[in-house]
Amino acid sequence: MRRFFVYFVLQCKRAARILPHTLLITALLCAAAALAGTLISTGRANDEANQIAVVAVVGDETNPYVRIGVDALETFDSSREEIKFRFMDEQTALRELRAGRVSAMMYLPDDFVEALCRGEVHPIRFLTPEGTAGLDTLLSAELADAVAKLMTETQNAQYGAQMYAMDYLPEVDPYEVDNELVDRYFAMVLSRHRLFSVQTVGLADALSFAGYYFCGLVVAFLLLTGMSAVPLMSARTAELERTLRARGFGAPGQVAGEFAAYYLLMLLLSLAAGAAGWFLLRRSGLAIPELADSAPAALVPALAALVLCFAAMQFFLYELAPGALSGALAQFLCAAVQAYVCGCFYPYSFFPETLQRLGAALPAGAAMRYLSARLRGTSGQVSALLAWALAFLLLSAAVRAWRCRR
Amino acid sequence: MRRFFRWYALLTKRLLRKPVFLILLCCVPLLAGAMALVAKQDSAVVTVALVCDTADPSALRVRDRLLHSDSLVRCTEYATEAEGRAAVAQSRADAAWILRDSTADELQRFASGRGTRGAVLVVEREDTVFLRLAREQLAAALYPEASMALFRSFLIERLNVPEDAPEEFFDRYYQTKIMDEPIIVFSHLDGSALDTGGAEHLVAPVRGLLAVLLVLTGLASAMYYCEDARRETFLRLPAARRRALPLLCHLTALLPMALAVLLALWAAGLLGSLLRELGLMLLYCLALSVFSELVRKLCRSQAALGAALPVLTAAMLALCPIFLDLNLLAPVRHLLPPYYYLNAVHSDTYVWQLALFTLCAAIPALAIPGRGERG
Repeated sequence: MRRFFVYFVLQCKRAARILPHTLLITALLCAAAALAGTLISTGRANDEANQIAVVAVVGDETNPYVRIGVDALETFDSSREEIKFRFMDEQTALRELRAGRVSAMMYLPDDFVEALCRGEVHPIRFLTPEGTAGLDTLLSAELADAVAKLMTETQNAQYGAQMYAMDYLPEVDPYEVDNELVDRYFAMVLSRHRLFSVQTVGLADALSFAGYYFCGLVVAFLLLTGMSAVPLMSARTAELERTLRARGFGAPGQVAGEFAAYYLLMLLLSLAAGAAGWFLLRRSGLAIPELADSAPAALVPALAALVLCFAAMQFFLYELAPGALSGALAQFLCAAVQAYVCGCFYPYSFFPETLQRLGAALPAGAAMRYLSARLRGTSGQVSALLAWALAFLLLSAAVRAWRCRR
Repeated sequence: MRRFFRWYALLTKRLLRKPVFLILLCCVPLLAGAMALVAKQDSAVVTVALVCDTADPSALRVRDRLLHSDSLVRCTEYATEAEGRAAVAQSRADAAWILRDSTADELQRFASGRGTRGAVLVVEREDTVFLRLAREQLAAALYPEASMALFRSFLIERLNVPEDAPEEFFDRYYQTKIMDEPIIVFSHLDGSALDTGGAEHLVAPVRGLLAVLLVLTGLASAMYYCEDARRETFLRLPAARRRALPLLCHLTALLPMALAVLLALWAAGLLGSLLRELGLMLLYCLALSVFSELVRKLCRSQAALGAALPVLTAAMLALCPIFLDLNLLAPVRHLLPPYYYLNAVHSDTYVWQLALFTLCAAIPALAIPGRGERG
């Protein structure tokens, strides 16, 4: 026991050498993240540059039908805030699209409306850059597709009325009929939100969107902090480990002592980062409903459990990949894959069911579920996190023992 | 030149003798390929609980349209309103769309401009941009019914069609000229079709994540060099040659990883023109080699460099066009190499900007003198 305690103190002293740098930079990171979050939520609604998607529209802006169509798109509930349509000439639109300053481009042929009146379709082209479409492009395309369906039905009605007038009412001007009908249809398009009634039932036991992404940010941050310990963990040598083993201080004791120091380091970092982030979050006015009435101290036990699980995982990865280069890469690969699959970036419901099940089984998935439960005010399943921590520590001891025997 | 290649070969051999590094190189394309495979399965941005507990013909047609629609909204049918609401409350669905018994009547009232309580009751926990877009698809599914109702009313009120005219009469004129050609055609700039119903958005961030992985490879190589400097591994080299040695060391780590990244892009179906990808990747590796050396010189110690890793990673994930292109903190974005690389994939302007970035970063990276490396 005495040997363990001495070894633990030595490891703490080693960890303390990198603590000042790591503490300062991690606290800065958290502050920057909170600041960025503030900018996203408060600045985006009024700043065109911060739209999720900007779509360039190329067409005859003076044509009233074209103008009305674009107005219909822009009056899509309040999505003016997220998806913005801007008229520009073709060369500018292509330049903006290639430069990535607009997500997509809608090209209306000059005779689009006149062709429709003749019964011909000169289609609108919805163009995106080459390569795989990101979420912003797909959302814009989804909206454009929905509006295209409205336009198609309107045209069916228009032709039908014209044909009936020509068949049965030769004295009536079909274009006058057409204009009157189109006016009614445009009024209907602009009031299409009345087709359904919306009932917002509140969150009940579920997390708000902001609450979900708070959990995602915390989990992603904790996954990434493992990389800050690369200088500490890559400085260990196998010779020292074998020497200690030869002196009767085997792998389990070594792993326990080193992990205890590593866990303390990570916990301190997380608490410092959390404090900095919390302070700025409160100052920024960013609304996370689940945190409105809670004190930061209430989340500290949850944070300690999360850090325990992730610290054990990171420690195990450092056992498998002890060098600086391999260690950093292994940490990032593990962090990035888990953060992505477990829903820290996209909500996990975006993914196919296979990936959802896989994500739920991973440590980051367990962490997301636990933190979500704590945010909702329930106790959550900490046993999954503890089980993962224990498993990683046992595996770490096994790897260390194998390396000592080589 | 021969000496350069000899050093390059020695440094690469030193790296490739580490089994863990080789395993990590192999994992990269395997993970990307696995992601691409899984992304082919059914997925959606919004999951909706659809309830059609009525025999109303309009409601049944709307239900069929929604269930067979190829969009980012996935509708799952539930038998009763209570089940639909429970699905929303338990987060199994993002929203519940409950088609009313009086769907046809409500649509008629809407088309006539009279007051209506809506043909569908939408139940949501909160309002988000994804749900607003989903409601647009709902409107598109309801609209044909409303359109037909308006058309019918117009013919009766304005064109004196008798009210008791059979439905087939109205249908015949409504379908006089069916717009079977699409009004909007979705495609990429090069003319290839844009798949709006698939899961491309799941695979799209893979290139960005791989770009960040390459940055980390360079920075980790910088940390590895710090250890070498502390151990005086390259002390025998003349001082003049030692100035450029770190760049060579970083390149030896970056090039194998770049090859793994290219394989990963191919496995994920994201690889474009091979020549362009190779050239761009080479330029990116040069940029990262210089960037990593600059960060190493600025951090001055291995501890600071290690502490900077999560900061830079988080900054790249948030500010570079990987998940969303939010155009935030533009001055900071322009300091990050993945910003140029990801935009340069489809834009020659950014290729030049990446080259300029490399040149601008190379000057301080070579000019700032290195200190004795401390761990």
